[in-house]
Amino acid sequence: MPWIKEEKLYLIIVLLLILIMAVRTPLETDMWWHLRAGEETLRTGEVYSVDTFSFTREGTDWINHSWLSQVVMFLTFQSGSYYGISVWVGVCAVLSMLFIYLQMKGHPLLRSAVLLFAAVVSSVVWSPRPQIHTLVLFSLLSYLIFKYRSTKQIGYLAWSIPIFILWGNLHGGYVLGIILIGSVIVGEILNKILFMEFTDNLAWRHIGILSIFMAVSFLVVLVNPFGLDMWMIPFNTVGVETLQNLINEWASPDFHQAFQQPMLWMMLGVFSLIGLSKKSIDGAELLPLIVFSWAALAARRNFGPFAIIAAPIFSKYLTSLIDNWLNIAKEKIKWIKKFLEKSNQSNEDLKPCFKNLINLVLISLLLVGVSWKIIDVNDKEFVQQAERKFFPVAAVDWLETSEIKGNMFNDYNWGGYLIWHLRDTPVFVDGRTDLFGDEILNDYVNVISGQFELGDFIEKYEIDFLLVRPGLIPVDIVENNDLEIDFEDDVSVIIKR
Amino acid sequence: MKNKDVVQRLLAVFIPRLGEIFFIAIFTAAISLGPRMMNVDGDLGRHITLGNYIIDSRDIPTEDIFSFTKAGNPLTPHEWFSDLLFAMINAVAGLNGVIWLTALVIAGSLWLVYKYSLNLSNMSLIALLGAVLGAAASSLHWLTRPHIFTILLAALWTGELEKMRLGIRKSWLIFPFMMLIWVNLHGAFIAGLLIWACYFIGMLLDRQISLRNNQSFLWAGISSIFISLINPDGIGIWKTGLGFLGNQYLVSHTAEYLPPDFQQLAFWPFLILILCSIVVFGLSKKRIAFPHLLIVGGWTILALYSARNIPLYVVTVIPILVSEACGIVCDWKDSILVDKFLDFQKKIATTEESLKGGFWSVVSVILAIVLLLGGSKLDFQGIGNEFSKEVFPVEATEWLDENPPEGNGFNYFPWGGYLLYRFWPERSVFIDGQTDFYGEELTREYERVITLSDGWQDVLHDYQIEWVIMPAGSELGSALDESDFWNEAYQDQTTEIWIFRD
Repeated sequence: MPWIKEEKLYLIIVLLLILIMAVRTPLETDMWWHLRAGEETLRTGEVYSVDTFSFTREGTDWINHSWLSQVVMFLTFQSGSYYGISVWVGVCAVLSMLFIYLQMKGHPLLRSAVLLFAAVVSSVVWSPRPQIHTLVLFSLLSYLIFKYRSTKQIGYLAWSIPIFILWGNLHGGYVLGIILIGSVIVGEILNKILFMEFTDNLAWRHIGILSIFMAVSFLVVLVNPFGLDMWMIPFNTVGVETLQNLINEWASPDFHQAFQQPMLWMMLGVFSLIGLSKKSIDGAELLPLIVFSWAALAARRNFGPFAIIAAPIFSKYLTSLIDNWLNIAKEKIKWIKKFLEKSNQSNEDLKPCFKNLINLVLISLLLVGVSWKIIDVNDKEFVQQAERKFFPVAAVDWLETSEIKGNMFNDYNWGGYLIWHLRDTPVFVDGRTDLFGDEILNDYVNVISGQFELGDFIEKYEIDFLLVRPGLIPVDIVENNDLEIDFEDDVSVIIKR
Repeated sequence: MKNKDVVQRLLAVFIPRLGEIFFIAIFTAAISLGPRMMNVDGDLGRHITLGNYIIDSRDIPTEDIFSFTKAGNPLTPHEWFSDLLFAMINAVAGLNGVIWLTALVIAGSLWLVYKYSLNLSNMSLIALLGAVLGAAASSLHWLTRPHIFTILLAALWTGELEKMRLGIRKSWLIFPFMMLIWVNLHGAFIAGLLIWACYFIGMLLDRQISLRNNQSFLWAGISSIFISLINPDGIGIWKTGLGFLGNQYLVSHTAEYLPPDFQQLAFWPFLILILCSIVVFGLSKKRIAFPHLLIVGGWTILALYSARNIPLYVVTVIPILVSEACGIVCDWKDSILVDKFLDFQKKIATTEESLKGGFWSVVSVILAIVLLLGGSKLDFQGIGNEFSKEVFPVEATEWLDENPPEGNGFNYFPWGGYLLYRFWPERSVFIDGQTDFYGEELTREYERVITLSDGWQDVLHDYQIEWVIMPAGSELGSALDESDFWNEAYQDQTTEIWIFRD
């Protein structure tokens, strides 16, 4: 008897491969302000909700919708440093993929291949930030809905209540879960209206139960330190108009960039496969597919939820298509029939002990690969080198020993890093777009694009010094505004008033 | 009895068909958007100037005559016939004529979308809905540029291929004929061959044709490929087109090649079309034919890759989507609502069959040109079809007329075509909108100057630039203001001009 079944073996292999993919050097600028906020929450024993990190919003109330994620992140960082954070991202990515796999149909090899494809699509959003929790919970929720539809057991839906309580404290992305349940309900109603019958169809009574659970899920989101304000978070965030100018992931996809193209291929793959099918698609699959395709085309941060919805449909229709073709081919082409029989035979011919040995070696090799990746990407020297390449490491060191103090204007992309590393100097702006709003963010965008006169800007915010990328402010503008460059290296420049 | 017949005949002529109403609506909309269509970029100026040169010299230039940076370099005039058409209509009716021609081509293309959708589906209301969505999606690229001829030809080409697929058309001779016109009108003739390849491969996969028995489909493509060599630059036109598309730097630096930005409302009709294609494919109970699958998939990729392909997506994909959508609607005959809709649709079809149509289309097209020639301003804003003072250096060029600077000028890239329109042959430009000709090296040099990157002054020195014309408030302008070597000689709300100090 082989000690591990073929199906499980494929799953283990593919999950280990995904873990290798997902473990990366954790150098995301937003990660730093999340860590600092988590630290503050633990230090004070109260959820960090009044800004102290910036001078532009100092003392302002802030709906810190990710407070629990920040605590988790800080504790992980405190106990495991960069290693801890990168493994945590990897594990979350793997979990989100596991729940997709459990919804797939077809041969394990094919399911594993589709899962890898989904992982490539979704990898764009794997980063050390609270939204990684949204990815896991979204995937888990889609699995629970899948199970409810196939078994009609309410027990699966009951899990949605603790999930949404947790989600409401981990990240504002809980709204994606509500949208998912809503689109499944609409899809089921569509099935009824169009007289489309599928094996997993819900009766009106079951649709009603699902609707009640959606309403309860939406209500339990209120179990958080900010109460009703939590409902407003998605609107507050999406309502910031400058969002896509500052944050790439909020922008529409740019398919000229190779790393974004897998989403395009998956979308086309899905609709080609359903096009080649001779059956209608289940409304409860179609509606979420449409909604999350739209979301992914509107903002690339939704690539993850799109992959979670699209991959099971992709595998289902690919399986059916391949099965059809193989059946036809077996009848019409003799050598295919012989080949398939022979390949099944040769697999059965292998002795169980030999199979066990191969499986053991394979899994061991992958485990070595995972360990090597974790050690390699978190190597102290490697991390420092990467940090020096993307962040103003030397400028921060210089500022800590210099006498320059006061209001600092900083590059948006360095805000989080500075909050963590330059603790006594509040920033001008950072990744908390919902806190800063269009007022500050527009001024930021206008001053770096030259539409807001630098001199007037400095007066308005009483800026004492600027920490920006070299060349962001032309030399003549520096001279015209009685500014002088105090520090400069390849990454950053400090300009004093 | 006779009187009744006459009345009925008159009514048949005077009552417009749905398609005709659609044509007139699109034509009117395009005419009303005239100033926007010609002021998005400065390429129209270049096209008219080149067309004028062809008329005057009776020669199609195969080397550069417009810039001092690339003067005499081999050039592929891949739009010469469009340029000639624009120049001819401009000579007869001025810029109003150019707008009229553009509106006519756009309305014609979209009418073809409606017509082919109707032919495939027999449901005029759904065909109309598809065509309206298509018009909304493609409207961003309603521009006075040779691109519009590609939209028209792609619609015609796809329609004829579909007829051949359905066995309605037997002869392949129309394809090389169309290709001969297309290859001389616009460089995107390659799109036609791509569409043909989708049909050919798709039909082979569907086993609808075989290489042995259906050679006419093969000949349609092969003859078109050979015919595409009949142009002033022969095979060079292929090298230019494919060379440009293969250059990542140039493609990513050309605004129209950028992908659609769905955060902008203007791209939502296209987004809706993509989602509709998922719905239609999903709900269809029959397998989608391979040619249709390849066309929809292929053009979705191309349009998501570059927004400029959206109009081509519209003309090739919408008839397919409409046809599939109508198939789905027919599957729901049991529903009372659908049944009523089908009844209503049948009544419309019967009425339409008795109508001749065409009268009001001809009237509106003639009326538009008559009114435009009579000086009427038919655009939404009532400003007339002129180059905008807010977009182009209209007033600055008047100043340049009175105070002509000596030597080479460095110009803002989108204004190159307009400057040629105003000053050529007296003055040449540094660069204009024909990026495929100017190439990566010069475009990088231009970029170095306007972004003040290392060595920007060397570029100006190397090309012996004596004057610079840039939009007001540019980064380069600030640097020139600070420089001891440059004097600001002119300034208005749109433009600034600097002259080099000796």
